[in-house]
Parts: sequence; structure tokens; C-alpha cells
Amino acid sequence: MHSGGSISSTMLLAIPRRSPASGVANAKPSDVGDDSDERLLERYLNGDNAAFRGLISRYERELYAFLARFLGDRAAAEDVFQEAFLQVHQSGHSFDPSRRFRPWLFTIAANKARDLMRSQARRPASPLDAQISPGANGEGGTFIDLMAADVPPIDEPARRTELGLQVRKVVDEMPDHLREILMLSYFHQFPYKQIADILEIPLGTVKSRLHAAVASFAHGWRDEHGLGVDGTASSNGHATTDDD
Amino acid sequence: MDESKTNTSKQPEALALGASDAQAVDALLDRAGTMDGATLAGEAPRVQAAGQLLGLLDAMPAPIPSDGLAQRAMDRVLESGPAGTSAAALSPTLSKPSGSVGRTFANAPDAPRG
Repeated sequence: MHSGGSISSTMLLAIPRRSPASGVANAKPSDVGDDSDERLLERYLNGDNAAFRGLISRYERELYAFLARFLGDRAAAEDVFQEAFLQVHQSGHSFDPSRRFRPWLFTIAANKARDLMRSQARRPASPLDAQISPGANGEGGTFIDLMAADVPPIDEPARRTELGLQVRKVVDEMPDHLREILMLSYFHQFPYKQIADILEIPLGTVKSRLHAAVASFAHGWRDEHGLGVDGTASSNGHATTDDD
Repeated sequence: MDESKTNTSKQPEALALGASDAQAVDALLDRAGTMDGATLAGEAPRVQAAGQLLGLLDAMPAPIPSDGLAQRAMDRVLESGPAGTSAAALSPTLSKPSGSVGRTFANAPDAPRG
């Protein structure tokens, strides 16, 4: 189990680094140059509309991608995207320029997305996080290890497309709050502390919820392929809160 | 198996994630890098397995917005008028849009300025 090898090379193999924009470059209008997000907002608050236009363009792809993945609805994602920037416009003067704009923006967008989901009752109410607890043998789950043998190569375009649809189905069926935190962490690479700020939950809850999200994804993936978590039958049990 | 306790909806089941797997997930996802090197090295196989699992997410195509989304957003901002003076910020699709910002996040719009 504790085989050797460089952790850095292992990690590079295990999970490719990507930009927070999920590998999709955001637009960068020439009139915003290299100004920071915070500087652009400051410029806008001083009357420079082009700066705000640039700020929106800078986040057009990344924020939309988060919302589309979270909401599972492109039209709703576009609406919430616009609402989020409208809120930034309305509340920009309350922004503390010593803080980071990006997590602030995602806080607004995530809250608006959750409001929309609640108002539409799009999904059954999700319970709080599934508790991450040791298994009956005290060893806890081992499905990550089991998963390793089942992860297919995704180099071929046709296979990748098929795989993408399968993965998307699993992700779409995850409970909202688990899908949300997994998207924030994996695709947008927010550190746990910033996720705690964005979701307004304690750091410990970020960890446990993210663990539950990974477990949920793995479980869904195994179900999608007709196997239980233990490789023979579906796991079952109880969902309990981890919120602290 | 007690079927009455089996959750057949999309709600999560009780999923056991061992401490080592949880550490592997943290090693991959917590950009703050709170895990020490020795622990990381000890968990290398699990980190790699977790990475393979999470790498499946990369198969999902990145959603691309329709043309002109940024411009439409900007148009709505301009149409809404100066900040704090328009009800245009209220979306008919949202339950509590103007208040739906972080309430405890110190940097959120309706929080006191730091």
C-alpha cells in the first residue's frame, strides 16, 4: 500500500493541473489589460464602464461553466450569470478591495443559483452531507482503490465523448450541495478556506462535504456501471449530517 | 437488507470514505497544501487512485456560453441604472435575489466593510 515513488510525479500523473477556468481561456479585452479584478471593479466604481465590461468578459466562460455544471441548465446558468453581475453592480461599493474579487463573485453566483433551485424545486430536497464514517470493518471505504482499476483511458475522442456523457449523468444525479462543492474544488480550484467563505460553512464541513462528494461521485460511477461500491452489491446505509 | 432503509432516490447513501482515502482527496484538492510531505508520500497510491477517479470529471465537456452573454450582462447592468437605485436587480426567477449574497462572508456585498 505504501509503495515508493515521488509524490510530485505521482500527483502529476494522478490529476493534471489546469487553470481555474477549466482549461478554457477567458476573454481578455485589451482595455482591461493586466489589471486585477479588484482594480477593474475599482475603476468601474469610479465611472469606467469599460472596466466592468472587461470584468464580465474575464469571467464569462469560467463563471458560466460553474453555473451550467451546477444548475444543469444552460439557460438558467446564463440568467444567473447576468443576475450575479447585476448584483456586483448593485453592491460593488460594499466590496472590500483588500479582499479577493473572485471568491466574492462566486459567493454571489452560488447563492443566486441555490435561490433559483429552491424556487423551482428542481430537485428533491437534498439532505445534509452523507456522513463519512468507517465501514463495518473499521477500515472505511476502499472504493477509490477499486475505482482505479475501472477508470478507462480517455485519450480516444469517441470514447471520451461517450465517457463524458456517462460522467455528466453521474454528476447531474449527485445531490446539489455535493455537486456544487465538487465543482468549486475540482474545476475552479478554490482552496478549502475560500470554499468555506463562498459556501458560508465551517472549514471542517468543507472537508467532510467534499469527501462525501467524492464518495457520491464514485458510488454513482459504480452504479452507472452496474457494480456496487464493494464490487458485488450496492452499499446501503443511512445518511446523517456532518455539519458542524 | 432492510429495504425500508434503502434510499432509492438521488439522495446520497451513507458512503464510507476511509481516513486514508480522505487524506488522498485532501492532498489533491486542498490547494492550501496543509498536508505534510511525509503523509503525502505515504498516501501516494491512494492519491493516484483518487486522481484517476477525479480525472473522470475531465471527460465532461466544458460548457460554453452562447455568443454575447457578457454583452447581455453588461446591457442589463446599464439598463438597471446607478447602483442601488433600480429594482431591475430583482429577477422574476429568483426568490430573494437582492439578499442572496454571502451573509457571513466578510467580503460579501451586504456585509460590513472590513
